[in-house]
Amino acid sequence: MDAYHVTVLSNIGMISLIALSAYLLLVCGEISFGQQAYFGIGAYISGIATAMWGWPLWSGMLAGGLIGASAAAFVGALTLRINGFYFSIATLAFAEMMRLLLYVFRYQVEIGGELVGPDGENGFHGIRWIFENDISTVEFMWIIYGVLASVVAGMMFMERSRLGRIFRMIGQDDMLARMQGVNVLLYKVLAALIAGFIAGVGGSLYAHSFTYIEPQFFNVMLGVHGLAYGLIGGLGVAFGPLVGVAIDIGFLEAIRWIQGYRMIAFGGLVAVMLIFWPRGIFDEKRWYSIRRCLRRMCGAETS
Amino acid sequence: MLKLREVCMRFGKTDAIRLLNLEVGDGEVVGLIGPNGSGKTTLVNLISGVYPPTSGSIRFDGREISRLAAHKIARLGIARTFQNIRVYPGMTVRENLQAALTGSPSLSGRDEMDSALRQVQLADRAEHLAGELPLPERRRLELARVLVCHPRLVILDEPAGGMTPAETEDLAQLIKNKLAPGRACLIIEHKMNLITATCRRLCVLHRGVKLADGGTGRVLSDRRVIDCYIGTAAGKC
Repeated sequence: MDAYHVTVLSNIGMISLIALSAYLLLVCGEISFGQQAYFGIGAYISGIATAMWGWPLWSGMLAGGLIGASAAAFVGALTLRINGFYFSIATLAFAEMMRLLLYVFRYQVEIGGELVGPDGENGFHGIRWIFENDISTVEFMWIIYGVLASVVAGMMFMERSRLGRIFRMIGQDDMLARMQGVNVLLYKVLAALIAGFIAGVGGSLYAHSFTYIEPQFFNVMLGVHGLAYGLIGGLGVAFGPLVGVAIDIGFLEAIRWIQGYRMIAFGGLVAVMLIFWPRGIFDEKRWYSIRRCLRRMCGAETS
Repeated sequence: MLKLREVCMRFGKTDAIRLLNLEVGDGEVVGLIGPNGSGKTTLVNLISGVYPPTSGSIRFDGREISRLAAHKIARLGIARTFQNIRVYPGMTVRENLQAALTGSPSLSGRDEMDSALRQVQLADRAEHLAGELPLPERRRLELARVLVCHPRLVILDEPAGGMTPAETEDLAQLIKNKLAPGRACLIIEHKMNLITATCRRLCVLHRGVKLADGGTGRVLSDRRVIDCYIGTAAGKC
């Protein structure tokens, strides 16, 4: 596999995590334009942990995820009382505030004669954990996919659990869920917390894959793409957003020859998909048909 | 069991409910009728905690619930259906019942869900998506949901809406034989045959005020009720 394909596949894996993060909130009926903030928090925190404090990657990733989760829960507790459009705007405002804060965030220490750490608009250089530990880009790609597989497995397990059912209840009719004894605000904050953790872990991988990060990486377009992946892939099952990521990145890479117009094409793709499949390719209805088909096939085999 | 004392609900300058007193006893089935806009659904929303009353007291089993969050009220054992049917459209009929049990203290299992679905004639629809059911079947799903939750107070908001006379008759039998025994029921309905078949007591609301309350036969023959709701002289009230 050449370096180009490793980079594209690594990107698909890492961006899938922000897509899953946005997907979880979409399942709960909330559109967040701010998941890039937790992705960025995860990237900076884990970068600081490994490059400046000498922590191993796993600890840094966990710290990035946990700080991302805490921030998401805090923002969620403040904003999830407001619904729909207002929540979306609040998340966007928070994410932009975080990005602008990163422009003035400076925290550097001297390691081996050079300054390492976040340096405001100049970004954060020297996140070299994978080189210092002799991990190749291909090996790191497998680490990314290992983490992604764990997150997807966890989410699919959650979707079959009581918690997953509650998230879907809230997403499909939060008034009815309330009337059935569900503390909607509490569970929405919990969903925001889990989504923040997933985004934070994704950001940690991103920082270590690119070894350099800057505030501009975590702009609103990253959040919009994260949302679009869920809406393209579908809200019926956790692997829906991964299909969305694969379609989108595959599509964008395939139209490199129209450099400069790619985002227009991407916008068009999202618009067309939303017209024909408003809840994505693998929406609840299609996923239900697939499940029913599989069940019938299994039934036919056993009989 | 349920006691409302001088309950008022004001939306802006409009009094939707004015100084309403109402009691529903244990095991009692009470009908609630009134013209459109008389405050029936507002009353259900107040009891179930959709919004708190402007003033007054709502007590359930002696406990004040007027300022309690809706999910906490539901957990006390108050279940309701909706005038505009609400189901989880992306879940199957069975998953809708499982969802109803999620926040309920009821321990109903699969057998009880099957039994509830049989009682509302939805057993063969258990694995269908609720969003694809026709309207009368969605209404029956709402009733099955109530059956599995074993609430202590059931509030049915126009349960026969959109039903044929034969379906309404079946619904009356279901309410009498399965839903009502052992629990209090408050039924909002415009179809008088359902009210007379199920309710021994009837309360009439008009412009947010209680117009009459008593035995169903007596209330239905009350001159003011006939004039305001059943008869043709609504303008005189």
